[in-house]
Amino acid sequence: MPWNPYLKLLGLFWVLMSCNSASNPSFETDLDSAAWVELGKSLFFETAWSKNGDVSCAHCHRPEFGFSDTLPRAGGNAFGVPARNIPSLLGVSRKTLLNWDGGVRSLEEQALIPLHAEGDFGLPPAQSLQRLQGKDYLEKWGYSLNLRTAVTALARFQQTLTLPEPVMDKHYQIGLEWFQNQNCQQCHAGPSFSDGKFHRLKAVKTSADLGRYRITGIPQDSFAFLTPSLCTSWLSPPFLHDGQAQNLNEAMQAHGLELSQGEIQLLELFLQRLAGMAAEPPS
Amino acid sequence: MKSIRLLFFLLLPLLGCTTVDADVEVVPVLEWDGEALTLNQDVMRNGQSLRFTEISFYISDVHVLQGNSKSNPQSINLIKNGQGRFGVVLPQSINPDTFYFSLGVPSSFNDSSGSLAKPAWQYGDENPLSAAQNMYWSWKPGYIFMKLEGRIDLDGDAQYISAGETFSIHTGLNSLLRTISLANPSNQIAPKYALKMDLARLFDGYDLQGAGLNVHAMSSQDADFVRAEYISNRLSNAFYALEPLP
Ligand code: HEC
Ligand code: HEC
Repeated sequence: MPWNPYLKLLGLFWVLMSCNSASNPSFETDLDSAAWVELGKSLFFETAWSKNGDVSCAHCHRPEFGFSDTLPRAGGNAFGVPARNIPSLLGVSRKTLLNWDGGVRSLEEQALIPLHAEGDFGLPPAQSLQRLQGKDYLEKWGYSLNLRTAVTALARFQQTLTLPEPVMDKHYQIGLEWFQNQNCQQCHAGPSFSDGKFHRLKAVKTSADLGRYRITGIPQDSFAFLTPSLCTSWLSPPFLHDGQAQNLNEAMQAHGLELSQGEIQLLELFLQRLAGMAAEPPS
Repeated sequence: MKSIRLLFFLLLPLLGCTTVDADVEVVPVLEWDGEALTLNQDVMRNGQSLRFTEISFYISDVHVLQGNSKSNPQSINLIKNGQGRFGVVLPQSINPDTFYFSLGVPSSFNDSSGSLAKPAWQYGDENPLSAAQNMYWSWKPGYIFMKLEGRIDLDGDAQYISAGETFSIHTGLNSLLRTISLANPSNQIAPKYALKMDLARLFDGYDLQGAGLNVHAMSSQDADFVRAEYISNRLSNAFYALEPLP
């Protein structure tokens, strides 16, 4: 009975095929890594998937401000999700927990936030995806886009955004020495100047935003936020999770520190160098 | 013999992948104060008129008891906008007097701490657990167990146009998963049942105004958690009967 094993295989194949009919193997099998990044980039700058056709990821994560913005706060919604300062996406793939409260664990999952009916695009994901039909960068592949492919592509693009190359001049050296002496590296540690942990600053202004507590339910976590990388801070003032600190003085006051004018100046030059700049910050 | 095998393999995909492959089929039937309820239909509550624009919920872990063990393999069904049905596979020669099910997504699937959970973006768009169903909170990952949205005529002008005349109640969280049990009204198993859900009972004693209009507790630390809990605790009153269908 030579047909028997073949039929079994056929049966198995049939089952697998029919169970997978909801997925989109075509994109997933056809795109090489460069094509994924390219698709992700197109999706990142796409405004069509917002309700009024005017908001893309780049609307808030603007390349000219290190994929962030100079607004104090954005995002959030009327149903209790707090608006917060927009993080820079440069070097984001180094992070294991995303958002100021660390509530999200992957870039793919993060992309579901704007794509939620109550998120930044203001539409349910299925409707947002529908609006992209007929776009050149999709047509050329000939497949329709599903959510999994969309968030995978967005993630692949964001993984290419690397931290700025620091300018290692004398201001950098002086700043780094001061920084180390001040023990800032207790929290702003490692190559991205963040320990990836949550801390409540001594004098941070409290608000309805409970920070890490909302995720863990541990009372000590209230008003604790993820230590931000300092490599991109200078690219998009204001500072802190709620954008309350207009300048470095205020950011340091939130730490419970009163720095002299000279020290602030030194820190400013240091942060500029970390951000790869030797000149003035964007206004 | 050969042809039976062939038939078996050809039918396998149907068995493996369709949702209603069961001995008993259950069709949720929505009501308001004992009357049939459809979306966008005006109903009255405490002299105020309201209408639902979305009624969606997960029904999971549908089972009967066979001795001490559950009859059914893990099942998760999404009833979207009041539409949908699901199946219960019964062990042979069993005549259960009670059916059990949960409203919500079991903790094993609900968030990243769940033993069987995978990220919501990894499911195909049609899967009940896909984020594409828009029944998922990504800010603090976890599924929305039930969505009730609509309009309410707060000022009594017979219109829903004034500011704030909408409501949006989303419940979720492992601690608010509720198991509901309903008796089989006859001593025989019918092939099909209506699962009656009276939404008016869900709101008994609930303050549907002000802060009560918008409930989106994604964590038990959120101020609106107590309201989400109140509604969740009334689920066993709202799901009030199984009725055999012809
Ligand atoms: C309306 C403005 C806005 C839009 C549009 C927006 N974001 Fe964001 N994004 C934010 C804010 C604000 C945060 C911080 C949220 C928090 O901490 O709770 C954030 C956080 C992030 C993070 C986490 C970064 C980190 O370091 O933790 C990523 C990744 C991200 N967004 C990617 C995207 C992508 C991809 C899109 C488009 C699909 C997008 N964003 C659209 C405002 C926006
Ligand atoms: C106990 C841990 C800790 C120490 C020590 C610490 N920081 Fe911070 N820093 C944080 C946290 C957490 C935040 C974000 C807090 C928030 O937004 O509420 C922050 C924010 C900042 C910011 C704002 C960054 C941005 O992009 O918004 C700057 C600048 C900064 N710190 C500099 C310093 C300097 C300089 C020192 C040393 C003098 C220092 N920090 C010491 C934890 C620390």
